[in-house]
Amino acid sequence: MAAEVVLDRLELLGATLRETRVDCIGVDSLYSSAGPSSHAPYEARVRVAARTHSREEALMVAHEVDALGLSGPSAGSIAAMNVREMLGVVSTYIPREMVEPRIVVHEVPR
Amino acid sequence: MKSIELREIAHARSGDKGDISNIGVIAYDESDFELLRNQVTVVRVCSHYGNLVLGEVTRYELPHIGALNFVMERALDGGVTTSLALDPHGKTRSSHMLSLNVAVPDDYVPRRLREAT
Repeated sequence: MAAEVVLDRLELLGATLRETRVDCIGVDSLYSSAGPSSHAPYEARVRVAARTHSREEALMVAHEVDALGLSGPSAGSIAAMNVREMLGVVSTYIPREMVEPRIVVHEVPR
Repeated sequence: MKSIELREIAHARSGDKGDISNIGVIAYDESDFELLRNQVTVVRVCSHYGNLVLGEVTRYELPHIGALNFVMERALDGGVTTSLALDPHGKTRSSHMLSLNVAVPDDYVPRRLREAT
C-alpha cells in the first residue's frame, strides 16, 4: 500500500519516471518471484527506487517516500532516502565504418 | 533416495560482467562432482531462477576442481551501473542456487554432519 501511494501520487504530480522498482526487503527484494513463497515475515521494509530525467524529479520521489512517515499507512517507521546521479557504463556496438585503425610502431632503446 | 538442498553438497559464488551474471558451484567433496553434473542442469537452473534471467544460460564444466560455472545472459537489469536493484551486482544470486534440491542416496552424509564427528 505504501508503494502504491508513492507511485500514484507521483503520477498525479506529473513526474515522468524512466523506470521504477518496488521491493519488499525481507520478502522479494533479492529474488523476486523466483524465491519461495512463504508466510509474511514479522517485519519488512518497502523500498521504492526510480530513475528520472532530472534531479528535481528524483527529489520528488524521495519527498513522497519521506511523506509516508506522516501520511502513509500506520505502523511504519521513518524512511531513508538517497538521490544521486547515475553514470551508466554500457557496452554497445558501432558500425565498423566509423573506425579508422592506425598502427604506429615505436622502437624503444634498451 | 532422499532429497537435500544443494548447499549441503556444494558452495557457490557469483559475479557480474555487464548484464551477465555468472555463478560457480563448487563441490565440497570432489567425489560429488558427478552428482552435480547430473542434477544441476541448465534446465533446472533456468527454472529455478525464473524471471531473474531473461537470456540464455550456458553451463561450463570444470571437473578438475569439481565445479560448474553457469553464465547467465540478460540477468542483471542492464548491469550494475544502471540497475535499480538492491543487489545490482547480483552477489546474492549464489545463495539462491544453493536452495536447489538434489537427490542423494539414503546413506549420504552431508558435510556439516561429517565435520561434527
